[in-house]
This record gives sequence, C-alpha cells and structure tokens, in this order.
Amino acid sequence: MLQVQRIAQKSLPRAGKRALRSGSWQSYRGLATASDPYDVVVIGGGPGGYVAAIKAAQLGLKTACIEKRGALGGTCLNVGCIPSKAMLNNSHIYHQTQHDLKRRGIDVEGVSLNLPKMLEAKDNAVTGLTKGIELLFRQNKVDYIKGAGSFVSPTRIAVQLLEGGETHVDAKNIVIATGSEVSPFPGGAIEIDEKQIVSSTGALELQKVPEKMVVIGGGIIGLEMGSVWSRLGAEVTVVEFLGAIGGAGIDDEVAKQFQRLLSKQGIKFKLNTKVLSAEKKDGKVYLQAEAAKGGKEETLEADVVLVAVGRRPYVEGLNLEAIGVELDNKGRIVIDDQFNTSIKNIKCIGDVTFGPMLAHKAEEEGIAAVEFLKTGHGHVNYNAIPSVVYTHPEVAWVGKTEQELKAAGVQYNIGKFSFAANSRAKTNLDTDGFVKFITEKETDKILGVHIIGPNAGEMIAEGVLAIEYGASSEDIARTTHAHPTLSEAFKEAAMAAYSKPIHM
Amino acid sequence: MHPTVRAQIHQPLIKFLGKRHWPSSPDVPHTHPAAPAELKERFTSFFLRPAESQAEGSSLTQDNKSVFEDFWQAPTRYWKPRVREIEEKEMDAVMSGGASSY
Repeated sequence: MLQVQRIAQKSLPRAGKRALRSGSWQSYRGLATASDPYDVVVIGGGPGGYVAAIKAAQLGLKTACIEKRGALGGTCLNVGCIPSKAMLNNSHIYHQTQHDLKRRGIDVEGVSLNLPKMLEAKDNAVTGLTKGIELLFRQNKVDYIKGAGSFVSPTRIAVQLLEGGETHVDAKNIVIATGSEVSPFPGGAIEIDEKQIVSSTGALELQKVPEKMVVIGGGIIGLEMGSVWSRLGAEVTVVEFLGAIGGAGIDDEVAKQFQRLLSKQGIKFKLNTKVLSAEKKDGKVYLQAEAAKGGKEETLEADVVLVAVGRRPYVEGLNLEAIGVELDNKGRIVIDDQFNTSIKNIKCIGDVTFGPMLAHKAEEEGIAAVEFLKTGHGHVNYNAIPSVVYTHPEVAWVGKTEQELKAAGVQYNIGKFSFAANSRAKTNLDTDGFVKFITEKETDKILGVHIIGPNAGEMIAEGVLAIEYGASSEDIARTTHAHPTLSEAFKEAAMAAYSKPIHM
Repeated sequence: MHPTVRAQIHQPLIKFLGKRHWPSSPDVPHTHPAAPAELKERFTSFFLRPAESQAEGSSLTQDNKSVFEDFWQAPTRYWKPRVREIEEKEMDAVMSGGASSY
C-alpha cells in the first residue's frame, strides 16, 4: 500500500504530497480539490477582508483570502483613505509653507511644487503598506489567493487566477468583503474618463494642477480632494445638491462653520444646486447646472471635474445570483446582526452591506464576523463609529447630532468650547473651530461629540471611547488632561455640558 | 483606583467592562441595526435559513449535529480519524528495511 502511494506521489497536488509524507492518507480522497476545505475563505482583501482573514487565522481557523486587485488593502489603501491622506498632508505643508510661515517668523524663498515627487511619495506610502499586509498574512498563515472569486456553490468558489488559469477553493464558511466602487453620475449624464472628468481615483493621479476644478458633491471625498487641489493652486468650486456640506451624519452647526472656514481658504460653494450634464470641448469641461428646486440654468467651466457623488456596493463577478444571496434595492447584501446573509455559511461585512462605508467600520465587522463563527458571539457598536474629514481644520464626530435628537424628541444639553480659548491652539496659531458635546439631559450621558478644529481626527477617539463605555460628560470633565494640549478643549467642552468651563 | 480628592462624591457613569466572558450558548440573530425598516418587518421569514447557518458556523467548535450535507460538516473524528501519523524518516526506515537509519 505504501509502495503504491509513493509511486502515485508525483501526480498529486502539493497538499496530497504533504499528506503522504506525513502518512495521513485521508487528505487525498479523489475529491475535486485534494486539500481539506478551508474553515474560512474571505473574498476581498480590503480593510474588512484582510482583518477578518488575520483574525480568523489567529482564532485557529484555516483561512484564505481571495483578492483580485493584485494588492491587498482594498480601495482604502490603494485608491482611497491612504493615498488621499498622503496628498492632504503634503499639500497642507506646501500651502502652509507658502502662506503661513511668514507670520511665524520663518522666511522662505523659492518654494515650488514638484507634483511628480509628491505623487511618488503618495505611491511609496501605498506600496509600503500593501506589502506590510502581505507580511502579516504570512506571519498569521493566511493563504493569499490572487484572483477573482466567483461562487460555484455556497461552499465552493472558482478563482480566476491573476497569473492565469482557474482553481477551485472549498470552504466551510465564506465571508464576502468585496467593498464598494465609485457611483456613476445619476442617469449616466456624465461619463468618468479619469482624465478630465475624474472619480476620487483619478483625482489622486492628476499629472498637473488644474486651473479650474469643479467638484460635484460636497461630501467627505469631494471636500478632501477639493482641498488638496485648492492648496496646490486650483480654483475649486464645490457643487452640492443639498443645502449643507459634509455629508450624512455631520452636525448642522459644524457644517456651517466648516463651510465658512473652507470658504476663507478660497473654495467656492454652490449649494442647493443640481448638475445636469457635462460637455467636453477644446480641452475644457462645461457643466450645465440649475437650482435644485428648478430655476435658471448656468454653465460652469472647468479643466477638471471631480464626480464625488458617493459609492455603491461592489458585487460584480461574484455570481451571487447562482447561489441566491439576497440584495436590497440599493444593491447591498442583506445581513442580520451576526453578518449572516440569506445563504447559510456565507457572511458579509463592510461597504457591500448595511451601515456607513468606512474602513474602520469594516474592520470591526471583520473581527466580529469571524468571532461569531468561532464562538457564536461578536461585538460592533454602530453608535460608536467615528467619522473624520481630513481637511484643515479637521472635522470629526461620533454619536448623535443635535438635529437627530430634536427629531427624536430627546431632551439634551450642549457643551461647547472654542479652540480660540485653548492655550495650545493659541501657541500653534491654529485656533479655528470648537468641540461640542451633546448629553442626555436627565443622566448627563454623552450622546454625541462633534469637533471641528486642529487634530479633530485624533481627538475624536476620546469621544468614541466615552460613548462605548457609556460615560457622562462629568466623567470626562473630572479626568485630568495634560496642559497645554488641544485635548483640554475636549475637557472644557465636557465641563460646559454639565456645569461651566473655566477658560471661557 | 488611585486616591482622589473630591469636593463632592462623583459616581462615574462610565462602566469598565473588563475581560469579556461570552455566554456558553450562541447569540440569537436579530435584524442588523443599520438594516432598512422593511427588512426589520420581515426578518423572521427572511432569515429562517441563516438561523440554520449560524448553528452550522458554530460547528467549527461544536460537533453536535446529526445530519450534514457535506462530509466536512460532520465532526472531524468521522472524516479525519486520529491515526498515528508516520514521519517520513520512519517511513523511509520501513521502506529500506531499516537501512536508512544508519
């Protein structure tokens, strides 16, 4: 018997050979795939998918991750959060050097933009981080399958390998984490060519600074990319269908202040305005727009138009219809609170399903989903997911807005503290903005925290922690914050919510 | 806690949760908190099958089902019995009549 097995070994796949070397016969059984099925296969290697895969492996589950981009990290790392932050940071330094250093007593001359170098720095950041995830996969023994996955059955995925050929992967459990893609302009009236009419992806690759840029959509992506090119010298106009900027979830008071501060920086806004069509002519793009409620049409001229009207779930090529995974009317995969889809053994997380399309939300769901697989329990608090806009000043929030609480009839207190009264903000010559606490009137429990100001994106972590732990504003106010730091503004806003601030 | 001086007794609202201890039985699935309202209304019928799926997912740790669609869903002992694994060195020794040991 052993002799026969030895002769047959040459024709066996690697898993079969390994099984024979170890003398355990049962792995090679004439199945379609010679190896044992994976405990978990994750489709999609973005922030939700790769975190789910690593966590699953850490929990002792045999895990593979299928990714078709050729690089891990998904939209966030490759064409989203990470490259945009590189551009935001470096464009801010450039703009500050040009316009802000003089008043700080620093005279500089000959400042000029080297855009190719700035783009290269962005690309280097992306490459370094994607390679880092591959290393984490190796360390945690996650099999990384480079290819496009498509369901053959609820437990089998066909993978078109990037290097050519096809393989089949069997899994006891599958996690769909395929993320989202840029939404096209509604009705198809404007076609993205990624040169003159760009999505956020193309906006990160512009090879020269446009003279005039029109941003369609005043949400987070539009404002961040608009800020980048405005700082680098473009004349930027943001056209927004709604009456406020900042997107879903932003507090009205913060949105107004945000618009004022960005206007001061030179960005123009056309709110309550609807874009109808775009025409490319003589190297320019001409947009037809009108008031959202109807009215006189106007033409906006631009060298580059950024279409930033949102993102939509991405399920292309998954062959979900073959196995019956149900989608809702927005194209999102329907799940319950344990991330189960309508098909057993298949879970789903991240942008492709319900909730805000945020990388950190997807990460939390990735961990919770595989914990549910392993233990039957998991945890994501959807009321404690922060949002951050990485402009300058930054805007960040967590929990409920004032308008939401008003609509729900909840009695609340407000505590606000301005950075203009914060010593560290003063020394930094960076005093725009405020911290705003919203607390339950009866219990003082923190319901929402909204920050516009320097370092808001880091500071909001304290608010998230407070909401996760069910803290009161007095709990924060009685906690020592180092002096002099921006975080004292956070403490003082908490003091203002339950009593009175000291420095205002 | 570190000693503090207090002008008045402040009873913190904050609850430190400590290390989580999950209950022994799995959670019961409910509607996703961010699901649209119409889904919440028809949750029970819609998620009849995933409820089974949850139990099956748990089979990664609990082998207590009696009917399985695929062999690997059965407890591991049925399809991967614990035979003593023979190392390559030992196999070589058998195949060579012990000569490989010298």
